[in-house]
Amino acid sequence: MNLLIFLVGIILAVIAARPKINPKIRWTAIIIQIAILVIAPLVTKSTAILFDALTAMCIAYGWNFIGGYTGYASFGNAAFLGLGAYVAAGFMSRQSGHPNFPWFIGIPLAVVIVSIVAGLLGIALLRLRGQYFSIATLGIFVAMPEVINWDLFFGQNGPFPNFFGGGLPLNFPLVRDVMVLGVKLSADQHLFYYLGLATALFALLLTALVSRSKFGYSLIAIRENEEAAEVMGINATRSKVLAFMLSAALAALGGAVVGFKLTNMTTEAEALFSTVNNLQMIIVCLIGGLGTLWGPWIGAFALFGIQELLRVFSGNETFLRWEAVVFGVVIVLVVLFLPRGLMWFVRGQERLTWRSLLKNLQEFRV
Amino acid sequence: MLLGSVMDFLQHLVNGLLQGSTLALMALGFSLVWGILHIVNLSHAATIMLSAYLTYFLWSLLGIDPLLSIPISMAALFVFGFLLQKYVINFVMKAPPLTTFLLTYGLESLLVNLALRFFTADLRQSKPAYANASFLVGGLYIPYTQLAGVAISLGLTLAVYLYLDHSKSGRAIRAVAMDRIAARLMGINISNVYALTFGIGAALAAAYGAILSTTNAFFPNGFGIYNILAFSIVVLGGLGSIPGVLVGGITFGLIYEFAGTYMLAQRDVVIFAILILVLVVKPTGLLGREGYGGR
Amino acid sequence: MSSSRPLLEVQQATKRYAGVTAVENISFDVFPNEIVGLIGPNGAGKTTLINLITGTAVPTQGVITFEGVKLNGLKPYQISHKGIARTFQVVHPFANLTVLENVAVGAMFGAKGRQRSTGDAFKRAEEILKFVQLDAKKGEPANSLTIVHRKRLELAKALALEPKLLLLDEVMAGLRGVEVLEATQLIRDINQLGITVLVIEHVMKVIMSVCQRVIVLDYGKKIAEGTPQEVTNNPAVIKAYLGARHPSTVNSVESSTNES
Repeated sequence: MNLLIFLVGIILAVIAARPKINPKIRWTAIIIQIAILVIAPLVTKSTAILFDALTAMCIAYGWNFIGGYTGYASFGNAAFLGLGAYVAAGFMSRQSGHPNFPWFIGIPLAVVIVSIVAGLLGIALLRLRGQYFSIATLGIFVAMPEVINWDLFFGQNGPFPNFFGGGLPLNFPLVRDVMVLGVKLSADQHLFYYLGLATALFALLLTALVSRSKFGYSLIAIRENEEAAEVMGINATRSKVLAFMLSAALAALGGAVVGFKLTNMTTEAEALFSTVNNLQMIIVCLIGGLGTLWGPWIGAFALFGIQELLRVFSGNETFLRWEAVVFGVVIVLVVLFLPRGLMWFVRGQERLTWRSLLKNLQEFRV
Repeated sequence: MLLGSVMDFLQHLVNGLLQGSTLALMALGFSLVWGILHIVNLSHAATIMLSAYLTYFLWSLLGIDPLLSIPISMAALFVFGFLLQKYVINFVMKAPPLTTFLLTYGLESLLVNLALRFFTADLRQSKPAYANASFLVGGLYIPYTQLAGVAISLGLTLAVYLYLDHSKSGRAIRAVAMDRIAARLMGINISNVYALTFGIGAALAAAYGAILSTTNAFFPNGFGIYNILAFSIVVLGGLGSIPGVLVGGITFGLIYEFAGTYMLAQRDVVIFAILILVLVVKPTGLLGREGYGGR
Repeated sequence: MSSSRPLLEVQQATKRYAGVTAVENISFDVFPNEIVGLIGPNGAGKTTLINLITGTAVPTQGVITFEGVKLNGLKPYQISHKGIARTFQVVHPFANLTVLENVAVGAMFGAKGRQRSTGDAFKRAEEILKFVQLDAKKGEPANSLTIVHRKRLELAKALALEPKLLLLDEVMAGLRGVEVLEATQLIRDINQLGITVLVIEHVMKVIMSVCQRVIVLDYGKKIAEGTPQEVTNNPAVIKAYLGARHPSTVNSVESSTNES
């Protein structure tokens, strides 16, 4: 069932992404898409993988702002993802010494704080271009877990004592099933799923608004030619820093929601700050198409569709054991055969055939 | 009291210098690949990891001395690097940086996760009889393995330096670094030069991995920092300069040692901060040249 | 020459790069509504001078003022908001955007464009494309254009900023015969709109026919300034372009520089 939802989702997104399509058909496709996702928990046994796909989509939409639209390939967004989860947990935890905020205050607050952190880092890092920017952001990714464990700030005697747990465990509050109008909504199957869906739709809406705005055009101009953009009146530094902040904000939002569902931040640190997470958002954008509105949508459904397919055919146990390895193989294959993403075909620049895939493979060869 | 802290300081200084010289070897292959193939190779750390495991298993299963097995692991990883470039990385040589970055990072993730599957996350270390032995010079401890590491590192660095300058294939590598198109017109087979360089880079990483397996306990996930370190060392020393790699390696060896002593768990943050500082203030590095073309 | 206050004043501008002096101690004024030519052999420092005026490079010494306001220390985008636009010798289109989008970006972020909505910016862009006769290509991606059209797009992008001063960096290079004449007329038309123009050119013929005043650079220094007639008869200029051995006639100056 989940496979079907992914497949239909991709088809509808492809229809919506077609450049010369009748607006009525486009809106119909979008509305059907949303309707399917809203009723999904009723028709599928487990929404777990849909939740994963939707939150990954939100995080990928974030990466798309800096890596896709602006052309600055960040390899450090997983640091903001993890930080978002930790800050939100710090605000929401029921343990003593934590402010015990409800989720609708704790998560937005975490998003704002992470954006500010990203803004400050961005002012320094966005002077760098190309590989230099990428590796510097990779440095953020490596250094961030150490910052969270830094006793100077978060130890017993720091300014934020034990905010990230310190020696104590750090947990999100446990979410229980609720009864609404006599219907039982389970935490994992319904509540977290809808929260995940909301983040994905929020990210889509934000991208739609930005890509039509002056700010969006300033990002594209910077990507295409930064020097020309600057003499044409674009404050490149400001646009880039804003894009980086937006990108970190969506990473933090997705991360906080994922962390909320995982609950235990003491044992899940490695999962959140993993290389797989760091690469996943980039590969989602790349599969779909960099710097496009529907690219991350198509990419996320395609990537998680493949995973679901393998899970169905190999059995859950085997798949979980090999998940990270499979993911590495997927990256290599996508980079070699689909360097421009599926959007290249969706927009009708070329037909999707074996031959065009082989042509892609040969294109950048020496 | 004062004498004690002075001795402490000197001991850290010696440790930093020893570590730094081997770190130069760690970054040398990375520098060659970046300078000549124009690729920031993020699978470099995974290559070090593979060699560390190879050395460990040669020692623990077959009883081969970890330092004596260095030629074996270098040869094995040379073949690995050569084939990896020829059959995978060669397809993205002309692609934008994001593509090569993503591909090598993907390979890194793939190799690390394969290692996790097959070798588990247990801590390993090759421990021959002399592993923890050291000798005293003027009250300072110098571990044998570290000293051997320095000797191997300096020897290989000198060998690479002479190879690039005086051998036929070394000159071909430099010609390609200078001008790919002109080199092709001179009849040099570009893709062979690339594969050869990548192989040499992997072999140098392998030598470091072998030394590392005797000096440190390791597990698959612990190697990511070496990509950042190698990049930082090359940026600080300057891309395309072998003496630059030595200068960068020793500098970061000292930083790593002192940051590790006084900031304990936060030394990667220090490395990151210094990397940013260098990139923003002097992106061409201390001894930078265009790739390995100039000299 | 106008007697009014200068629009642009360059005072003793100097630029050194790691031991090489690209531009040394250059001073000149540009007055409102003029068309001024800036010529000199390759490597004379013309493009460096443009970079200094537009903030792409920072002067080592000297002061540059526009409408009495000092430009030193301003970023390129701030200078463009003051009303200075430029073209690049090596054209810088936004390759994956359409021709119309390229120009609309200029209409969005220029001196007056900042108050404009995106919709209005696209309308303005259409008008400008008509003016430079590129409207037939508006839906095509910029990287599919021929060099002639790319040069014109470069001009349209600069015009979209609605500048008071337009700096044209070799917009004629690569054009032939009729194309040069069309481009020359376009420069006059732009000037008719009330835009002051500083033209950098190799093609001497263009400068002579369109400029009221010419400034000549050689090895980073200003060697002459005056009407086209005065400058072509100036021995220093002839020497710079031809070397001392050659006979000093205007015609030979023109023909030899046309080829480059």
